[in-house]
Amino acid sequence: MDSANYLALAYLVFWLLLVGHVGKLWHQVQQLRRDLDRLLSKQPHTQP
Amino acid sequence: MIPSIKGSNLLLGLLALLLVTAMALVFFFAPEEKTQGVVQKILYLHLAAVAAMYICLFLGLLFAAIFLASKQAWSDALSVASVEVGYLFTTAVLLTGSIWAKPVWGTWWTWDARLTTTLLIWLIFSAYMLLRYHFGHLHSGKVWCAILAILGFLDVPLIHYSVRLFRGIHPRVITAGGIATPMLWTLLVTIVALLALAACLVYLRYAVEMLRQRLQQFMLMQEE
Repeated sequence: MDSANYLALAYLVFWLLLVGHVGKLWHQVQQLRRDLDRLLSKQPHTQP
Repeated sequence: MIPSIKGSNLLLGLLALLLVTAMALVFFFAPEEKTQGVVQKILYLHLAAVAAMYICLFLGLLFAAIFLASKQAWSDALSVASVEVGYLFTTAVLLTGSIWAKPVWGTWWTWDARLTTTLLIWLIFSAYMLLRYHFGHLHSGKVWCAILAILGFLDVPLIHYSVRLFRGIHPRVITAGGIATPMLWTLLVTIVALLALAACLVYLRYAVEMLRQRLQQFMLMQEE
């Protein structure tokens, strides 16, 4: 493999790792939203 | 206190600009090294990831010690956030180093002291991740994670001084001759960019952890 390909591979792997980490954070935020929705749905509704 | 992410758009924009500038410097400004050629440009990413790894794991140790002493939720949240980002950069260091090693040393991996001690810290924090995932909701789980974060960091000085203590294939990063000025500037900008990225990731993970803990408290209160 050409040395330029190794360079491209290293940078690609790094950015993929980063995207994966941000994806994990996003998943945690979605989980929080689901928990919050569940919590709010259990709250008694107040009349206006 | 729940951390806020209000007004973060400007900071995220600045971070993106810094990262794009660093990548532009690496590919269009930094000159090619004479013996290794273009593949030497992995150095900028590899070394910046090492700096981010050291600092994040140190913060993990610091906040773990504060948590063990004070049992405050924020310190545990900051410790787990720092360790997770430190683990990400440790993985990046191992992978970019391995990819760099293949064209330069002719092998993806060798049991050199620096490589082995870096693999060791990755394994220690892999254990941390497993422990946190399965027992992070328990107080005892948090305490054991804090102890592991402190013990795991003890490997960092060993990694750093391994090239001086043991004979191996891994070079010292910058030797007495130094490096050319354009290379030095590119390296500094890349280090600053990755440290800013690490700070942003730690803060976001900390915000998520604090919100998750507060939400769990509300849910427990509602069940009672």
